[in-house]
Amino acid sequence: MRLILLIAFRNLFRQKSRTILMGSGICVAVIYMILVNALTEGLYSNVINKMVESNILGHITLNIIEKDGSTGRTIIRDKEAIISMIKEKLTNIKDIRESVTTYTFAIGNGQGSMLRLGGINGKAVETVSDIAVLSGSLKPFIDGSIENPLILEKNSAAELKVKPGDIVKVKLNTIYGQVQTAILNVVAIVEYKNPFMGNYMPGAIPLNRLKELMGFKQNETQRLNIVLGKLHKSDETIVAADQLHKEILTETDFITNMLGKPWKLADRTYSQADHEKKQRGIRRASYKGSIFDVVSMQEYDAMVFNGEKNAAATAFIAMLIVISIILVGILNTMRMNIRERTIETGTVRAIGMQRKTVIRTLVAEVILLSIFSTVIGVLAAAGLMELFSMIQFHPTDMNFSVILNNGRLVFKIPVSTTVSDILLVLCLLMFSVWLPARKATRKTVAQALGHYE
Amino acid sequence: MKKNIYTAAIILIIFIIPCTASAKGLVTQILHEMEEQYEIGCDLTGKITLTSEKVKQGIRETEYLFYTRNSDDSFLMAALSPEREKGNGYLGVDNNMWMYRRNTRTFQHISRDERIGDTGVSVENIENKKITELYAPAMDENGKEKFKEERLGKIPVYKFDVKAIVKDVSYPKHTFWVRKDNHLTLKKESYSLSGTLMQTVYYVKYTNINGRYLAIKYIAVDEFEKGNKTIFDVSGISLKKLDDSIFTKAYLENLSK
Repeated sequence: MRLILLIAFRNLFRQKSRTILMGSGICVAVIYMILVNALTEGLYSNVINKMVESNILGHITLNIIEKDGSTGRTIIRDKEAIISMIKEKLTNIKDIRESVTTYTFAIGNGQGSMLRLGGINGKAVETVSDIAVLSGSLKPFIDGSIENPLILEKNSAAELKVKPGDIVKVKLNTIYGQVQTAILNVVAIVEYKNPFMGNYMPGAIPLNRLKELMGFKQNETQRLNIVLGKLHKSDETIVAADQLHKEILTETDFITNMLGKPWKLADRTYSQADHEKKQRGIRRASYKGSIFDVVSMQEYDAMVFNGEKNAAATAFIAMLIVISIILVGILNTMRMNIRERTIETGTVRAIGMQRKTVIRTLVAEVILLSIFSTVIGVLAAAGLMELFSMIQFHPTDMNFSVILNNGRLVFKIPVSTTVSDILLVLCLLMFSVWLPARKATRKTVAQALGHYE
Repeated sequence: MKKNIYTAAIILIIFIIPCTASAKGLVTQILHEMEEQYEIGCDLTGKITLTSEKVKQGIRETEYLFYTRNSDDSFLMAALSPEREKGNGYLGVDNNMWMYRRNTRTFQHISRDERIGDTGVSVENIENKKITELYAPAMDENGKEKFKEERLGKIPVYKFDVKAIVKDVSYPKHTFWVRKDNHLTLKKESYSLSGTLMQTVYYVKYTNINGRYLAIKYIAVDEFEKGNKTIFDVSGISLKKLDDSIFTKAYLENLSK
């Protein structure tokens, strides 16, 4: 084996220009595969991270719908007890956050329109990236120096014709259906670089104030967003949601004692359409008691996750096309290389080298070349990713800005996919050299020696 | 011994019974009387016209066919016009209320605060729920029911506040102006949880049906978004007994075809 590797190694250096040409082809293929995979994965993990970071979604969300016959409200009565139970049942938890939102009718400077209000903690405002303050300041929101501070997204501010320092009157319904009003003070007009945030929370007020307006008590909340620890794939949230769903069933006594009334657990669903159907069913059902509903983020926003799959599929097809072109080039070079070396093959066989050994030598040559090229390709890809990440963009287009993190491209290598792609290409290469090599060694020694191009 | 019993009975009659009566004061009495007066005591069919006036949207008129059953206060409303609203409707049976949409052919559960056809009138205004089941008179510091005697225009009225005793109502507080002579409501103000005046309703016209009263015209003025108002008008009233099959989803669905 050692001899085969030595001969293969020596052969690589005999034809330097050809080796460089083939090696470059493999190298480019590897760089391309890594960059495409990393960019696709980075793009979606960035989008998902932004949604989780801004509390639009949790990796898993727990809703408890309190039904009183046909009417119902989403309310978690004893949030601390529920949080403790979840923490006990799921191990990979980074955070559990309250999520409270509502629709209001808002009146600004003579102009009224619907405004979705979200509750957010002062501290969380600082940590949410991609908020660009256009006018005013977030400070009064964070330090609570102004009563009922309101952060408005720029389009909503334009619709209501307000600027920082103005007031916005809002009308909303409490969780019990009573009409509630409040006067909010606009402290900042912002632009969310993350369009999901803009849709989800065009208006933001302190979480506790919104809870108070909506009629929640201190220990109550609308829903809980569970943020999981390190995830390798987005689908891991579904597994965790299934686990929580199963674990809730083991806590029947605890929950019955806590609620003091009947409750049931809604079935798990695995698509947005099914989840919406389930929600309709819950709304229509006539039931007196609480309904627990465990939802993974995939069920809330199928568009993003379908987009992830579609982009991955598109990237894979594009990669196949490019890799095929590169492979055809490499294959042709290989075939020419082996044909040109037919006399050499006859010579080594004439001095006693077995047919199998000749094939192994040629395949080993490609393996060595592939290993070197792959290593160089991986290093070059890492360098290029670093380089591209250093470029800061200042996009005006929301669709472009959503894929950036602080104006920079995000790369995240999906290790298993990338390794399997590289291994697939290497196998194809080996197969492509094995075929002409076998054909060349099928000739008799005399035929090989008498080969003429 | 007998003498003692008589004395106790006299004390009871003189002191305790009047105390109980004063705890349930004038406002409670008026509320009960209002309930009684507004209880038509028979099934009713009519046409409701809602004329909604909104800032920047102009005037919009919607007509509904309206049925209500006396025995259980069920109701059904089906839109007759305009064309885009035609076939949409509302159904209230027991404590369940549904909104029907012709385009999607679906029934959706709604709550009392659901606005009818985007007007200032909500389902709460339509259903015949007893006011004393939802509200109680506001009390002063001494625990007595608060009320004032004043004039609304030239008409002598009682003015009093009521506060919600259940959570499932749109407005937690109302102020009523009711006529002194027959206790009919002339004006009602509705307040939000934080005490903001949200709506004022002016009762313009009543009709007398078998000695009971039905408000056939009132104007609901939106005090939050100034300039919006809705005029509620009932016409073509019939008191014929209604078939039970009317108060069903199937009937509402059929009406929309």
